[in-house]
Amino acid sequence: MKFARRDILNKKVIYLPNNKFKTIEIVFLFVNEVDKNRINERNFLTEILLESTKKYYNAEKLNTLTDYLYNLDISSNYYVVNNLGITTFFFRSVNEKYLNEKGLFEQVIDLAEEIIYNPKTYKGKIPKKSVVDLKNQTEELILSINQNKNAYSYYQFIDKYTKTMKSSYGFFPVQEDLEQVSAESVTETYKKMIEEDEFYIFVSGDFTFKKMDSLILEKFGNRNQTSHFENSFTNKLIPNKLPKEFIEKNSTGQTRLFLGFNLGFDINYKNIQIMNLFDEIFGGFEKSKLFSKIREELHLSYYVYSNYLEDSQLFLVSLEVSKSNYSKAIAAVKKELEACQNGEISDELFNQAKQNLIKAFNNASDSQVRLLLGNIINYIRYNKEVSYEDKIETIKSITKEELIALIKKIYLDTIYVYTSEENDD
Amino acid sequence: MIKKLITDEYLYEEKLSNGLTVYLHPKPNFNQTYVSLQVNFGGRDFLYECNNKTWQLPEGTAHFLEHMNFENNDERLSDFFIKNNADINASTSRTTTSYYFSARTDIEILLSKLLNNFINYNFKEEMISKERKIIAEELAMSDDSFQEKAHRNLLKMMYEDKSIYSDIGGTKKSIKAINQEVLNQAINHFYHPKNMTLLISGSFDYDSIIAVLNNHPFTLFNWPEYHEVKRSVKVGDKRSKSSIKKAKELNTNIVEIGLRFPQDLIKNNKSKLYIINKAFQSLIFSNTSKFYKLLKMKNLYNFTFQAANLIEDEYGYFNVSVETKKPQLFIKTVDNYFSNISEIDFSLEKFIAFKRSEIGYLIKIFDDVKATHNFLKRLIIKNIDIVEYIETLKEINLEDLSIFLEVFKKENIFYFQYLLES
Repeated sequence: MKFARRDILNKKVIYLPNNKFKTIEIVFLFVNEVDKNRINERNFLTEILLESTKKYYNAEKLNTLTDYLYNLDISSNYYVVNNLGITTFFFRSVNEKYLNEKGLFEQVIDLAEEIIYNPKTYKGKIPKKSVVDLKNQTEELILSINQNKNAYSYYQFIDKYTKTMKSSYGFFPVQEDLEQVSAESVTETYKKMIEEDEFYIFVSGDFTFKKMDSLILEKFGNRNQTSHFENSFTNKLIPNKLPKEFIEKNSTGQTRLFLGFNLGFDINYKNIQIMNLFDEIFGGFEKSKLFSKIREELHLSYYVYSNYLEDSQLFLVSLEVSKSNYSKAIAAVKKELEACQNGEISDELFNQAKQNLIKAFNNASDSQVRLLLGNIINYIRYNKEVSYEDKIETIKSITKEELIALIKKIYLDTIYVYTSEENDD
Repeated sequence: MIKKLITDEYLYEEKLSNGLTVYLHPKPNFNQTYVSLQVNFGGRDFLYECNNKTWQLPEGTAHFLEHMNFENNDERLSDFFIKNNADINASTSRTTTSYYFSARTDIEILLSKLLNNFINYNFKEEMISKERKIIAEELAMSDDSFQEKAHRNLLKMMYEDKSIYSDIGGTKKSIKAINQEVLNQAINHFYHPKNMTLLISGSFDYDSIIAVLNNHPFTLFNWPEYHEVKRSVKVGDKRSKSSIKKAKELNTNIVEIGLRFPQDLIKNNKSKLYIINKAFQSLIFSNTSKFYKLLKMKNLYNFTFQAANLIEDEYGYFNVSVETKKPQLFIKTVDNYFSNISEIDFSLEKFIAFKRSEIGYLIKIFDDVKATHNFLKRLIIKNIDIVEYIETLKEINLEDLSIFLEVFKKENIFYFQYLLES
């Protein structure tokens, strides 16, 4: 899917045309440097703006309309990608070519404008009730997380791993800042998003460029573009001098185990692709080092996987074991990393991991949503057009020597164990 | 047989000489192909009739056998698929075991390999023992979830028959009883082509797939006579309509509501029941409903509000699950709402919106091979004809929904609460 950059709205309108799918997707992006003190507000906006507008003043009215528009998908998200905060508004509509009905997409664009630019307000502000309700719900969400042992232990681990800096990585909710969220702070964040963030529109599907240009210009032609930011790839993790181990005891059956690593190398496009490949080799599939050793050979755990968070530069391993086995499991993970660092990666595994990534990139072309979102995130992440084909070529070009040289710099930073108060029998 | 689904989407249905029903849904412009083999054997099957005899299996046998089939004939099935750049996996539900893979190329070779696995069975004792350990770890993972415990407690209140609520994977005790003999019994009774369906969606060549299927040893094998498995589910008449458990470890309260469908309702035409049920759920429980609005206005739920439904051959229910700070007020509000349900105006505007939404949903689902495959699989498992399903969607009207009002009678409503122990 190739980018077609349109000469409207400061060239921030990009089309990804194709006639393979039965839908048209339009995504509105607001991009700026991340404000770690406004993570809650940014996330609140993705909920509040999609709940009601001036014209569709409650969720019932808005949702009935989206049903009526042939199951129009609407979603909004806030992502932190490296140093950038990105708010997206995503609309996925059936292409009217497949319906006996004209003018469907015009109605979708009207609704997009209404949702983004005409939120329901009271005395010029986002209504206090909406904010208070959402705060209450978020507090309940925290309670809910706390009683879900998987979610709770993960959040506790992230807190320890990021040294209580998880807001700078965009993790929501930021419990300690929740009290300060108000109708005023949400309104101020909304205004900042509309007035200061860089504004992009991406459209994919089968449509006429000229007609789409005119629709976009009519609805969004007078929007300001004032932000100035630069992408930067940095490793924000504050390192521990020696690995720190945290053990939390509670009434739980299985022991949850998380190991967080510091990457210890410069972050750039090539190194990110190498890390993606290593993630696959280490704990990405059932022939990976960790799965083969910990599940298949040692029978310590039903699942074990590694996870490289490309936008945060965090790298972690997680597994669930019985209490008596957790020390063995930690030792096994450490040993497998050392083995990889010493070059113990078979050609078969190395090539298979490459094939797996290439397959995943190729498969993205079967989903317009994945294609579009992947292209957008890559565009923002690398500040240039990076297609799946480009990524495939990079993966193909990685040598085992390059990979081993890079992963030698990875070291264990944090171990978090969530285990039972009881003695294991 | 060719069935036109929507616009340019077609489904081919074939019956092989061994009795296997095959569904083929070509998507020539796409890269991937999804293949799944369904066996009508699931977590519910531990007491059944076959060839005029009553048989028992340890709970969790279907799931155990699913694991073992990846280690059949001294070969790890997934190795071949990984080497050929395919993803393979399997799942066991209450009714069905499904083995599935996806790939971009060599579909015929991969399909052939998959079918090879279901002709002869030879499980080594040490592999049975290894899988038992892995499954024990898997079962332990669900032990900690209060949501799962609450849901199972609700089903236990609603139904007499254990096959409706027991853990699909069995228990640590029951899987100890699973051995070679047990697995053979399950294979003999359930793993017959006449008790299976095959679904293929995506970018494949119709003729070469049919050629592979017709000439495959799985088709040509001299299969023994198939004796249909019969199940009887005791729905029962439970008296207790409300139950409470308390736990110190909770941070917030969980409330589960079950609305049991009367037996007469289950007997309706399946496509119609399925669509009406979906419409009813959309109008009563979705985020456009008055119910949702009422709960939201009173702040009676958090992010965890979930509404679902299930229709099986013998039973069906609606289920609403929430976490709430105010369980008593929640139940009072829900009770009051349900008791006045017949007076609630089913808005024509919303019903029309629902029908248009379902049409849009169908068109969109065919944009994604995996989603299409899973959608078709769901209907095949439920034995619902897809064309009839689409036609029913076009034909139903608002009045049809009234058959579901019966569900809201007091005798069909069950509450289970998991409350914070102060």
